[in-house]
Amino acid sequence: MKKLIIIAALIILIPVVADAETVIKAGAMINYGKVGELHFTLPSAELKFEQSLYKGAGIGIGIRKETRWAYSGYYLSLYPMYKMKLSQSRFVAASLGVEYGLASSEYDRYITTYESGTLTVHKWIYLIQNAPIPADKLKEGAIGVIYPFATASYGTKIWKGIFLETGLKVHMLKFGVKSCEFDPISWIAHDIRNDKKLIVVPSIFIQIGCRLF
Amino acid sequence: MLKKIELLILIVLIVGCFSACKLDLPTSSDSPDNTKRNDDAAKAVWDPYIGVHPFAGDAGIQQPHLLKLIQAGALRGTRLGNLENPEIQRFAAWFQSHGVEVLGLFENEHLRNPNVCQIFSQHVAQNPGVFVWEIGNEVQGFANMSSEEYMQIATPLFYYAKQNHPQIRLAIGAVAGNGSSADDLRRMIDAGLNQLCQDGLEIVPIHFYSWNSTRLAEFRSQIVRLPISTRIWITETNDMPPSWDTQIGYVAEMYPRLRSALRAERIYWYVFSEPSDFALVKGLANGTPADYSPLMNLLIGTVNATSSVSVDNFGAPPEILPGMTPRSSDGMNRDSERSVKHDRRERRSR
Repeated sequence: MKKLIIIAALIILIPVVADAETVIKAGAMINYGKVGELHFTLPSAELKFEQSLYKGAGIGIGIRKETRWAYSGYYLSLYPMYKMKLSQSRFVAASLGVEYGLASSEYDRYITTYESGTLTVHKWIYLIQNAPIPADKLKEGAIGVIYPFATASYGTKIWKGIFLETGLKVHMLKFGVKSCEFDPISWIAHDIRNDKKLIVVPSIFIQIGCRLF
Repeated sequence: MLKKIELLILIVLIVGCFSACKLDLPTSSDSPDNTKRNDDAAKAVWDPYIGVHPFAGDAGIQQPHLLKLIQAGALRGTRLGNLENPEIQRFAAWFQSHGVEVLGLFENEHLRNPNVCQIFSQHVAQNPGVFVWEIGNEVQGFANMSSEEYMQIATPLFYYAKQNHPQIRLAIGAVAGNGSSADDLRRMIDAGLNQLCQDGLEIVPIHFYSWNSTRLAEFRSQIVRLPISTRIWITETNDMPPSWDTQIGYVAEMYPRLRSALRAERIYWYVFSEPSDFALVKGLANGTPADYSPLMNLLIGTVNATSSVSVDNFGAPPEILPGMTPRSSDGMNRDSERSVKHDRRERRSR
């Protein structure tokens, strides 16, 4: 993580070629997803640094906080991007990257069915954890997530170096879907299912940016 | 600079983002409180299971207060230890006579006994109404036992119980709900817990205290490893540090998350009564007048700190175990102590 921050800082602080620009952006995002009975609509706030390096191509890093819960919903992102000017004041941009962090618990759902007061079916839908986190107290474990994303956006200058940008972001998230049925008398489980689903989660975002250098 | 159409799109997006942010947001941050909003949420998500500590010499002190919860439909199952004690056995029978299921705790002190299987059989014979048994409690802390040593004891006991007492359900001993306790569960899984689950161990209980940590994600990463046929019960939970000011907020905020993130079928509140802010009722052990917490008042629908509520339709439906009769509409079943062992101050200091 430290290496990542140092590399990003160097990229931002040392413009490599002429035509380079350093930009800071802050904005809000809202996503929507559906996996079986699990529906989520989660807001988040994001802060990004972007450094264009050569003819609009560049690299960016960001930090995103999802929901107001203190203990989860933190993500770091790293992405190469490309920005194309349409005119002096308008541009379109695209990026492709990965996001890493501690996912919100809103990506999980547990569904139970009772008959005459007895559990007969249960189903668990959950975002698959696939990355280690430094704060993890497990000796071996993966409590974090790392997933790819892509964005497409449109921006327009509003005043001097300040611009507004809006666009669409899609995450590729992998969910586990486990379920089984129980015999109400013996509690013996049957019809056990273990599935995994790769879901495209769209988001819209709006952000305000400022050219630093 | 901005064209009209761009302005329009931006306004629509800004309004859309801000209105969406108001939807589906968690009801508060990490500072829950006993607000009216949390009252309603807590009542909706409450799970009617509570741990009970029998007091020395007189479990009957608690019964009138427990009865209020039972009549309100807020108590359908309890967790009781020390069931070799005849007085606690009577207490368990009293619960059963009121339609409350008892989860029996087979105490840690028996685990290292060479005759542990026979002692377990005695417990089962002495408590014919107890159909679910938990083998030990937070052994890593309270019995200074490694997860590996515990599994070496619990495994043969499980197979013995399955063969000799097929009518009962078994739960492995819960790991603690703080510190690196998810790692204790990981080590139990590595030491053969999954095999027991596949061979018929029905329940894996865990304890969960506090929320400002990575603990939820840590437990979740281990529960994913267990077969889906295994039921996860949270047999102790409360805020840490405990406070009467946050009890309702804790239920409102954490119960849904414990259910969804840990697929917890049941959640037992820790605890009905003891001289600490974990309790719903204080003042019983030393004979002073009962003092009800705001959550207790909310559950029984009497004087509430912030609002008045009705007392029907609590959270999840009850599980009916063999030998139990479903309660009638008024919450009653017509068919039909030792000192507090675990020093919670020790828990808090850990």
